[in-house]
Amino acid sequence: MKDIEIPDQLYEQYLSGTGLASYLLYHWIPANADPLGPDNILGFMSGLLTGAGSLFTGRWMVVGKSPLTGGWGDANCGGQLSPEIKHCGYDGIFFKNISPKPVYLYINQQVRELIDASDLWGKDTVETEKTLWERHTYKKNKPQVACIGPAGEKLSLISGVSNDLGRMAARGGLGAVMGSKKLKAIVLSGDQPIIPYDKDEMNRLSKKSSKWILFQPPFVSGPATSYLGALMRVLPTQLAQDGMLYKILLRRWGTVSMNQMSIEMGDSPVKNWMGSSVDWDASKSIGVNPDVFTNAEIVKYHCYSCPLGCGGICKMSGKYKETHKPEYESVICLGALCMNEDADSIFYMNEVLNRAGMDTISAGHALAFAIECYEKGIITDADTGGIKMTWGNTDGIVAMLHKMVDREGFGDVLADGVKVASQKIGKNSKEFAIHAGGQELAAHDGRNDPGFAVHYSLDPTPGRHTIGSQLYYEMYQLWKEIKGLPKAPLLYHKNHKYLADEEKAKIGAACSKYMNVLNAIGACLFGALTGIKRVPFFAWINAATGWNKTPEEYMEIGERIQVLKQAFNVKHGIEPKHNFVTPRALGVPAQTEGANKGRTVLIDKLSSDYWEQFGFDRETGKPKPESIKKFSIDEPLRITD
Amino acid sequence: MAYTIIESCIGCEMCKKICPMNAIFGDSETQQKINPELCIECGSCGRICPKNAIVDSFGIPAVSIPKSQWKQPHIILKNCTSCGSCVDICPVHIITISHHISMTGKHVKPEIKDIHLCISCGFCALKCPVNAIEMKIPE
Ligand code: SF4
Ligand code: SF4
Ligand code: SF4
Repeated sequence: MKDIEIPDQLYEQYLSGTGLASYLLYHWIPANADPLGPDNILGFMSGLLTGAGSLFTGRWMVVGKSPLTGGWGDANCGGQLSPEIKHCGYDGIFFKNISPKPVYLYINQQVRELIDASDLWGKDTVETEKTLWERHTYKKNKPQVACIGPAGEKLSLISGVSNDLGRMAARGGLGAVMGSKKLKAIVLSGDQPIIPYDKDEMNRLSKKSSKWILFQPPFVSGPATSYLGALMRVLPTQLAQDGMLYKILLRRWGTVSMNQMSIEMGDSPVKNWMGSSVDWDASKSIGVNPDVFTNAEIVKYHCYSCPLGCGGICKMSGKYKETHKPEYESVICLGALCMNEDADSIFYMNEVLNRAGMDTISAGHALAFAIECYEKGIITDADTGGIKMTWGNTDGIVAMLHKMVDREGFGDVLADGVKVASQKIGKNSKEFAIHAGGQELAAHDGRNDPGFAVHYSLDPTPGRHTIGSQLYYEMYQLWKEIKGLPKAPLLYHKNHKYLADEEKAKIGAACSKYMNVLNAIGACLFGALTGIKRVPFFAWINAATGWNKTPEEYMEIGERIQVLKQAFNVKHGIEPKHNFVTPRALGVPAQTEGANKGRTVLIDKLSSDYWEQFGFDRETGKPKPESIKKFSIDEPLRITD
Repeated sequence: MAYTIIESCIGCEMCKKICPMNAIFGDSETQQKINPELCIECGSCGRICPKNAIVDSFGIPAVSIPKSQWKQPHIILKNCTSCGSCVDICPVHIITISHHISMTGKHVKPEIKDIHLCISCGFCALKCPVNAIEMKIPE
């Protein structure tokens, strides 16, 4: 174990979090390293602003080369872990090589050691964390834990890393990287203070911001959200959305507030991206209306430094008594995507996946994919071991999910995601294996908001919904701080969304850059969606560090990180063009009914324009020598260890 | 930066008992020492020391204060955002976030359990990003 000092200049160029990590891993991981081999490096990062007195900045990031996409991989999660990394005196902790036996890392003020984890291997994420709490609680101080479950141990390419009893940094398959290193957990218990440059200014900004978040007028009932969604579908025009509306929904229900609204407006995928609200109308989605979740909610919780509090613990009956309130993504991927109407099964599967340490988004897609294979006769009872994988057959879906997390029978085929499964199954099944560059898409339809399709296809970690979209752009309201960015019109004709004009490329690039800054400072997307004037991340960075950078300079840092991550992918042999979303989910062929009828995402034009914004080649998407040079990316590593 | 103990220490070990970090060591009835690696400068040893034998990191002798006069935190719930920063920082871990019914739904709010364990460090008030904690001498 060794400590590495990071020069200030690197912080100024890459901030911290995924920004700094992408710089280090670009240099540290050799080209074409096996993601599950000793050369891959796995990092746990806190954010630059974590603990500095800003709001919405308590997320931690896990980073490494993704075994799922073969390129840059990062995933993040909230909870209480991020400040603990800093209390231990670090901005990030990295692992390389492979341990001969299972271990976990324990850090407190006095010790720093790898401890045998043979007794924990095989335990689920909740049991593991509770055991480690018991073992390492000192003077009532409970340590913070990040760990993998059996899915990560079994190298499932859709496994993630858990903290706070089953919350997941789920995407990119980094749980398998942790499993390959035989690292079961990290256990942190630090005491070092985190002191910002200008405490008073931090507090002034936070106080002002908190007023926006705490403002909470009464709002419609859960099922009424479906009417809002239906209205958005039928109206030919659209109002630019103000993030305050979504903030109010989130504070009241959490992300499940979108369960019905998104289906109605054409944002949620149905029936493995074949269906629409015609197949899944309000009478079907009513079972997962937002009130179902708040009624089951025993308590709401907040992540570290979050004034909003979208999370909660729900009670349930059966084998497990409690689960984290399922997120919108989980509800759709385990529900409408598989035509599964049974809300109880969604609560149950949510807990099974959290405990196994597997991504609910990817798992739901794998199940929907299996159903379509079965319905088309590509796989039969002989393959599934007698499980009837038909649309909406809850028992079959749950049974197959168990096989997936245990890697048993056909579940073993599905446990590495739909791309790998379709390669094993063959027979044209790749046409309905819905992914981008190997990673399953989240539950936001690019045919409804092409911005999602752009980021699914073009982000260096493809398939993620947390980077940007046209909707996010409206809500970020970046034009209020940054010169030269297009202002979203208050009211516009919907057709405008589907044009592949120059503006879309600017919007897409701005979202990517901004998200790179957010992931470097440990910020939460939902805070950002409330609008830059209300949740002033750039001002907080200046107050915390004593720098005096303009918003434009921060966006340039975001650009630098994007170029670097793309260069990382190219270094590891990724052809950016091969990361495009499976044609079905781009509207090729276009749907014949529902909200997205007749819509096709013009991805070729959109991608070239987007790449151009970063100085990448319009045809190949690879960074041109000029942009590599502009950000001195190929200069030797500027740290000494 | 850390607190230090000077020669006037009589080794009563009051400081050792209160230090939340177990940073103070030494035999009884001899001059105690503070491990600077562990000290978080909470100041409680200084407040408790009957001989004013402890100096802070600026070299200023700490003044002993009767325990009944130690300031205690009061959370102004209407300003509190439930962010949990105070929970995270409290060196004696007496702040918890538990169920609290508020006007806006069931959002959790912090609560101070076992206030008698509070060492009056004021870290929670300093850390709170929205100044929702006031340190007051109990009535
Ligand atoms: S200042 Fe606090 S932490 Fe430091 S030695 Fe005194 S009691 Fe312990
Ligand atoms: S003043 Fe606050 S942080 Fe310090 S011990 Fe008391 S409750 Fe804990
Ligand atoms: S730090 Fe302040 S705002 Fe945050 S939970 Fe504590 S009292 Fe509330």
